[in-house]
Amino acid sequence: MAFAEALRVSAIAYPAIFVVIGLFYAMIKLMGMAFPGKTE
Amino acid sequence: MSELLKGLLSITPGQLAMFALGGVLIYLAIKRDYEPMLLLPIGFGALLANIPGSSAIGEHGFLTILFNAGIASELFPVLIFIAVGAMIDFTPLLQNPGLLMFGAAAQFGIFFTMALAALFGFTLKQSAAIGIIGAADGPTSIFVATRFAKEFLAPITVAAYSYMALVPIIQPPVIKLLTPKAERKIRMEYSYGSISKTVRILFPIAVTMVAGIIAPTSVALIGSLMFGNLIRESGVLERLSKSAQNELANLVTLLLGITIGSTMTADAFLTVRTLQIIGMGLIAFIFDTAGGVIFARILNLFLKRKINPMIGAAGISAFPMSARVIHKLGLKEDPGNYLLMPAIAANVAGQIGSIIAGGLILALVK
Repeated sequence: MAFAEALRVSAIAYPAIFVVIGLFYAMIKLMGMAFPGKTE
Repeated sequence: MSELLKGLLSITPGQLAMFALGGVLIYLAIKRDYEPMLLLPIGFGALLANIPGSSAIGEHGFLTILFNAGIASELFPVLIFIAVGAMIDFTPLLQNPGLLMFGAAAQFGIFFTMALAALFGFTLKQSAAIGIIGAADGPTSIFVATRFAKEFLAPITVAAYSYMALVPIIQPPVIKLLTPKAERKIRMEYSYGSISKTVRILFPIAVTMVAGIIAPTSVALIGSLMFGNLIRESGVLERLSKSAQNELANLVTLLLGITIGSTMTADAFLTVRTLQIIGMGLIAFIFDTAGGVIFARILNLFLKRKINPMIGAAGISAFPMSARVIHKLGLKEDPGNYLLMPAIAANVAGQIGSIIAGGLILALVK
């Protein structure tokens, strides 16, 4: 029972980390475009 | 006279074993430099807790009072995160956001170990707390263990910090096993682009908002980390930033270690379950490393500019230990291959990834 639940949680949580991290990636790109750093 | 001898005569073999274990932790901290900031106080805390009739623990014992105030309340891990946030420079990650993905991939060990622990008969909550050792992140491990498996807090914490110290021994053989030599020599491009102050300030706020809205249970962890980082990057709170990095970090670390050590009483610690947890902690670290490396190799199937798959292993939270290990391995394969900066970016991503993993587990495990 605990094993099946552990698999269920893993099947949701592990891909979800990629989704959240993917959102951060998009955020950094957007912020970089909106507020670019100084070019040398 | 008999009163004075009472303590000596009542020492149990278990307590003697715990004295030895406490001694080993202190030895490793001092002589081997294995996470001394944590292992030394933990080792000494174990000694204090196992002296027969110790006044350090129990209803009025100062360590029990500290435990209730700082660990059971989840206050210490959160304070540590404020300090860690003030220490972290996210610039390498902001310059190379693509490396963020490794902070997700290298959390694989958490989930593998969680399933394994469940197979060994641990409850789901206990399994989740054991799996989170694979976050390679002490405060997150303590935070989750406090919520889900207080009875295993000591072995989980000791395993998490011990294996973090052993990253230079654990990661290289796993990486070598999973990568051909030619791929370990891949040189990586790294962007040193300038990041504006506005982005540095917005990043911790935006991360907190996004992560918090998706997984509200992660707010305490990610929010405190990012609060510390905002203090650092704001540029107007230098004194507070320095206090967080030094006084706060030192004081809480000092109390955290000895308080965790005080839970290592012989009857609670010397069990088969403890051995299983220590063993599974190692498995978690191994599969974290494997997850990151294999993910990089899969990405390489689709990328024109190949990634050195060793960078994937740096996606764990043990910072900066893992980045250094990868850099050294890269130099060993090719003396002109400097992987430090991309490894640091992946390593910083691992710090974010581990907290997200902890928050999601807290949200999903009922």
